[in-house]
Amino acid sequence: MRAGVRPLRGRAGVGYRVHAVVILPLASVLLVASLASPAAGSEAEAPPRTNRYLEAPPSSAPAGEDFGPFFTGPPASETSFVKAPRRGSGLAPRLSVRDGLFCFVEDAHCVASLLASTDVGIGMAIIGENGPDLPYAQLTFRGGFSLRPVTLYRKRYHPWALGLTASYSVGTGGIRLQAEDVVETARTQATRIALVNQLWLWHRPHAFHLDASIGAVRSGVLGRDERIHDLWGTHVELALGFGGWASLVVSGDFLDEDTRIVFGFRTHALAGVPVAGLTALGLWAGGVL
Amino acid sequence: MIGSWMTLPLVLVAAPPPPLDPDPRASPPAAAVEADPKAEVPPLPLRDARRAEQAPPPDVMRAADNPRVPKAKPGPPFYDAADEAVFRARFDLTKDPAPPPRTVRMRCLVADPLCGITVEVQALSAYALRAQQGSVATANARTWHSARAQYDVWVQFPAVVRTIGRTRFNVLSMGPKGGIVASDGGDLWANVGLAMRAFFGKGAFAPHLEVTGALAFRIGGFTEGGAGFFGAGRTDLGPVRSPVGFAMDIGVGLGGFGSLVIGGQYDSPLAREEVPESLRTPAAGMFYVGFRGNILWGAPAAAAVTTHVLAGRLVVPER
Repeated sequence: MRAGVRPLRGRAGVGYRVHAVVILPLASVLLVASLASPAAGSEAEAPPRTNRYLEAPPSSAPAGEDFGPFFTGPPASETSFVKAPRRGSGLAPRLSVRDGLFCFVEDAHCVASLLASTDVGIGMAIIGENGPDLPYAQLTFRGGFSLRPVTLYRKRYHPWALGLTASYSVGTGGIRLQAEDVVETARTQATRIALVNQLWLWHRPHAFHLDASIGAVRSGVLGRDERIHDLWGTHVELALGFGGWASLVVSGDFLDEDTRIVFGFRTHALAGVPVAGLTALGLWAGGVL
Repeated sequence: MIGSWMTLPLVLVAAPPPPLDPDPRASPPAAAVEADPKAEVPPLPLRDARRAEQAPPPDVMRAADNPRVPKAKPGPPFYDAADEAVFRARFDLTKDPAPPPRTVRMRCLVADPLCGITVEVQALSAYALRAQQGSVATANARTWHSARAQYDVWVQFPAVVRTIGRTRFNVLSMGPKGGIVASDGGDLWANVGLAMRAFFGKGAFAPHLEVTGALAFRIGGFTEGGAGFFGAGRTDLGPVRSPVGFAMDIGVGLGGFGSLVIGGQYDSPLAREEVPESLRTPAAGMFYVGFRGNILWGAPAAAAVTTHVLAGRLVVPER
């Protein structure tokens, strides 16, 4: 390795800071979680429906139940898990306001939702003729919101949601072969903004959903002059979500002479932040950080 | 759930339009047939057609309120409470099905046989026997005693259930999981995989078996002069690359609170021919034995952080 390559590591972080768009949603989630009171313990205590965008005519069906074209109530033989009932109609998640008008953890029965997540992923960094393709791992923080346009317009459930997200990730460094030398950076940082298309596959709580995102990414790419150049590229992502708590994600960042394809696991910040916090606490108290 | 989703279009059936008079599909009056057998059916009045087209979009209507949906009739497959009473008498059962055996503890934040879908944050603290392959020429593989702390998010969906009365019990649940693994020297891995739990009983402390399998890969470690993960720190901890390895473990425990776990992890080497020598990494791995539990009752989280701290303080890695 040539002398003078090392300082490149220091420059990799210039111009990147954790974006306020990511920090603020995470902070608001934690605040709401800390203030949230336990859900009502029984149907009799459930507050009335207040979400006028998902109002339905009165029905004989019990809250949260809908048994299709032939039954409006549960059949006599219906079985269920014993669990604490959800609030309101029984379909909105506990961490929501006005019966799913705004949800802090997204779910099928939400008109608008906060998107706040962390994810880890592994894949490949493909740099073509500039060197071998190497494994690439990244840690991502994402924030944003989603809306149901058709639900807002027609005032009834619709499976399509549209969202806007911003994310920041830090990953393993990039390399470039220059003659007989290997030039490498200490880390790869990227910021992204993306439009999210969600299709919820059914209506019940914790429904699965398909998310297709497309947007722009800005990240540093190691150039021929052995310097890091901040470039704009295309960001594409496909995810299979399990309610608002977890997703399996395949994402790609397509930059000039640098393509990163990553497969990963995404979880809501309410679960992901404690994981990151406990890890950081162990590193700090262990004298490593 | 898929069934209810597929029937959604039927539930969202439009409210019936105002009755059309006359019905264009009805047979012509007998008198008209007698007068002219080839007489055509009177066309739908234009104003009615326009009214039907311009009708506002129908609101949500449940099937029972819709006159177009046939009503359930007594008898199969439409069983009601009276039918159930007959069946119960026929098979010498009590008049009422058994009530739920007990209430769910902690609102299903800790897994329980009475819970369906659960979201859990699990913490593992374990002793680890780590190993790393050295040079192939000298066969100097290195092993050392260390520790493993792991924090995972599990989302579990019931896959096999047992029904008694009207109560479902979770027998086998499975779902995605992912998280962070830490060991000595600032070594950090992430993992993405699947977790499965089987309950052998219905009680609050029913024994269970857990099996997990995941892709494991390095995300952090010692990097001299690396300035931290975000480029602004004063630490030698930074991003570290590795190929995808795997980790698997098996645990036995009680009631979703915690498990004794035994498992292993393998880190694949990065040693392709076209990869420069300075970027290659050797094969490595570990066997581990420890305790894993839900962080919400505190002890597993405290144990994992303590284990991680001790690994950082007491184990001196070779550089």
